[in-house]
Amino acid sequence: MDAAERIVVPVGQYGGAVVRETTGTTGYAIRRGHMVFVMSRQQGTLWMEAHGRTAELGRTAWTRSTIVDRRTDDATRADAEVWFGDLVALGLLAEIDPDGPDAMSFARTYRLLPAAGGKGNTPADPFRFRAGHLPYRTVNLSWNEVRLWREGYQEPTLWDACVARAAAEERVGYRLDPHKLLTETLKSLHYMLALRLSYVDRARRDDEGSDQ
Amino acid sequence: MTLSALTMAPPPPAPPTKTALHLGGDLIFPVGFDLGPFYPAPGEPLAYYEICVGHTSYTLPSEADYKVWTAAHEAPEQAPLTWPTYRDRLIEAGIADAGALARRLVDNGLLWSISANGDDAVSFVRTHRLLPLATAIGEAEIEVPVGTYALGLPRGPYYFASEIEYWLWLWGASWDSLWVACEMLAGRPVEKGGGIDPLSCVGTVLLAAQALIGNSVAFLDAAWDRR
Repeated sequence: MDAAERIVVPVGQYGGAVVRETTGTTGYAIRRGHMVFVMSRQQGTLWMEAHGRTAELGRTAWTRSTIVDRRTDDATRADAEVWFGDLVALGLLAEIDPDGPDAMSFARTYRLLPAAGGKGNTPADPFRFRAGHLPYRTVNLSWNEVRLWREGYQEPTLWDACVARAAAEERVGYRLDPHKLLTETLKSLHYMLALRLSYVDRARRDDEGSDQ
Repeated sequence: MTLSALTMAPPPPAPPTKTALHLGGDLIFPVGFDLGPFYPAPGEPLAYYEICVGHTSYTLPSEADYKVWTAAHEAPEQAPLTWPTYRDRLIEAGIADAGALARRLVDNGLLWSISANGDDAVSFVRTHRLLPLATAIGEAEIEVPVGTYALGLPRGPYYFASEIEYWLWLWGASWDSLWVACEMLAGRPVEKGGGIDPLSCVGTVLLAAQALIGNSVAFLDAAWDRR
């Protein structure tokens, strides 16, 4: 996959628009691991846009050019590209090819955490599971999607979560390739991000204390 | 372990009484990740409601069990949610045998009734962690009461969290237990809510956690080493 076609994933938990104590100006706060970054509205907008837009899910690829195109009106393309690069360098954006080797690197570096509760299934459609923020935003998830979403945060990394899911399926007699599960998860990740079902954070490590 | 194994006997019809429902402590905390109802096949009735704590899945076999658990989430008009308020809430709801259902939740670690500053509180914060839900809106760009931060969804509704609550919401997922939150809070300046040591911060952390849970922007799970 060409570098320009890689999908962009935002890393961190959004802390909202906050007033900086030092300058009194407004900044966008993002917690990633044991650090909080506060950045300008223009740069924060790029990070927010990397979550995807709910109205465009399934028909827009969330690539670098897509996100830079959605910069604020007062930002030049050149500025936005510099800010985008800085976000990548800070580990607040990740660019990945779900089918490529960097998918595994991503999965070992990050984990997926829930940002919404489960809403269960319905007697009309018991094979799809709802998650989200009733009555505002919900999405139907397949079996493996929902299991990874609801269990994955108990594992240190996204890759550990995929392996654990495959092992759980094997215990009940089903084969599930964790690599395939990872690829499918990454390809549909923006559904979870745009709907605020999940967020991506740094992997949880036993040597935490200083920033990972 | 599932709750369904514990609920073979049909509940007696009498509503709970004030003397029958005492759980022991002052503050009420629901624990677990709400995963909603489960229907096993098209057209079949509800099998259970599922709650996860760490790697363990608990099944609440009836709507009544689930109502007793969710009743522990709702923030009261006058915080904090204490056991008498919770008890009255169950009585008003008219849930049959609510006391026994609540007791089963307690026995399974899905409902806790603890004193804010006792040994049981310390044990509780050492064995549980807080995970945030929803997203932050912040304190700028929208109208927020002074000293609060909006949490919720981008287009609302919002919960206006105090500074301590916002702090716990933002950092909670990065800490292995609420005790770590107490340690961190002890290191903050007094004007930022800090205390003299972690023990002195337990009550503050618990009240903040309860407010976040009661406004649907967080849930409690087992501490990382107990999941």
